[in-house]
Amino acid sequence: MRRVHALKLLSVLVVGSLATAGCSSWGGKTETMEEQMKKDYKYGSILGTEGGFNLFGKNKRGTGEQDSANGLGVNSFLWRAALDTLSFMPIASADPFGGVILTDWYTAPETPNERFKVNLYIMDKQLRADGVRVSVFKQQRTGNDWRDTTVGNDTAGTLEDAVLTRARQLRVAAQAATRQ
Amino acid sequence: MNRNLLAGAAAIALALGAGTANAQAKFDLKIGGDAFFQAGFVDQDRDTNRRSTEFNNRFRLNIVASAKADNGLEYGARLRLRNNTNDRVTEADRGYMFLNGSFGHVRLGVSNSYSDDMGAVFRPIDYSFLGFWDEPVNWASTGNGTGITTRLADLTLTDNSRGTKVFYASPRFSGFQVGGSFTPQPSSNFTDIDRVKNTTAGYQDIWELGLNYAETFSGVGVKAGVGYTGGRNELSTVEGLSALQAGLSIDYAGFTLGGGYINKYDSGLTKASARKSNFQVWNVGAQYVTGPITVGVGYTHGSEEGSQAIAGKDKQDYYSIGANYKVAPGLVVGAEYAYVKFDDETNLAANDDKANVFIVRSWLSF
Repeated sequence: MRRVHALKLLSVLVVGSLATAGCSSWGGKTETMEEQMKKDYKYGSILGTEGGFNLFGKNKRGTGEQDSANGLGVNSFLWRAALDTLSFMPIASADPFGGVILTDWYTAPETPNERFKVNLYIMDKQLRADGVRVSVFKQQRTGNDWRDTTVGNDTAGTLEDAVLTRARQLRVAAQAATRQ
Repeated sequence: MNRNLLAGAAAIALALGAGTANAQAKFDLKIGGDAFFQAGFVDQDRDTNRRSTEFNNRFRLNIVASAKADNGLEYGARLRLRNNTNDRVTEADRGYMFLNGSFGHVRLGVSNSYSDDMGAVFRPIDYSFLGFWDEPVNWASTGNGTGITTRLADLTLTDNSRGTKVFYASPRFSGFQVGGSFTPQPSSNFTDIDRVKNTTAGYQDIWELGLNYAETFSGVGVKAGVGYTGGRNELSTVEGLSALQAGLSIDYAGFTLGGGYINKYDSGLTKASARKSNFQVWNVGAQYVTGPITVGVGYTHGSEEGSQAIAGKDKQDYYSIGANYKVAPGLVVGAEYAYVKFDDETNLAANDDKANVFIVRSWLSF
């Protein structure tokens, strides 16, 4: 009798394994644990509609690499990439929760009569191409005064691209580290 | 065969998870929970040496650790702690590993049944609170002198709840989901190893299968569910567990109308007796939600054999009306009035009971 049960179990395991291997995507929708638990709390929570309190790791969208990890209010890769990219300039203010970096005026050694100031805003908790906005201000020295002047159209865009490129590099490095 | 299917599905899912361990994302540790406070007033026929007023409260904490692998497999564990008893002890009433993927949802550990957690459809109960459907019955039947001690207000099949089990729910295809669970020893949970055959008429090897449907058509939501639960009884003189539940709910523009039915047939009754009335519960209710306000009414009727030495059935009728108001995200206040009537099978007026229960409550979830 026990042999019959064992054969039944074995057959189920074999058929189930084949079915699972052949059905990497069955096409149906499986509720996440968070979606299941939300049904218990239909009236929202005091910490927002998502409920609960995250001690570590990801945001509610479920992608641990693209979130506001480590207690930041914005995407951590974009934040670190922005700081890296603007590290050649003096930072006047950096708010990791609001995602705002304001630099002080910076004068490059090779152009002592020009100075630049940058305001950088991180707009999203996810690593997205439109997650960064940069404003660049430029002044030229006229005698003892500094006067505002126009900035090239592509200057802000170049800085945004540099931040995004650096963020992608950081993310790839983080993913490689988790696989080791 | 069904329990083999569940065990097989669980083992395969576990193996699938183990195979992707190297590509795991960072674990996310989330804490949430709920708490409530109630003040109740009970006016009851058989209230000798019983007070009319009482307070009670509860606090629960959910701890969920989860991660997601590159192939989409979500895996983790959940523990729920609660202070639920009068001795101030904090206990765990949920504790399981889980796996989510394209294959469905698998739980391994202490969890409610599929019927209780996902599959069953019944009258709307959001006008009450936190999933409670029979709290006034508790207030009317706890500690009183009524001849009926069984609560006959169940809306789901819960005979295997809190036993260590394997649990499976499929993905939802075109609104349909199938699921089930297998529990070897319903009274054994967490680290307990209970290999003793239960020879005192308790159920063992409880399995269940259920089919659930949920879909929306032009703003009209339809939910339906049907499920069966079976179990073996070690005592050859006592009937095993055989139970069916079915329900339907329709909602539109804030209105919900629903009902359900449970029949446990002659489960647990002495086989040789000629008196084996079915354990049956049916329920119907309506609810309306507008903004922060929810109002609803419900009716539940239950009957069971009671004593097999006496002809007839024990019966219970439970009428409920209530409302709640969402004060702020996660904070709700509410009130409920219920009339509960117990009819003892002896038909002796002294054994029957009636109660008017009025409860005001507040609760929060976070």
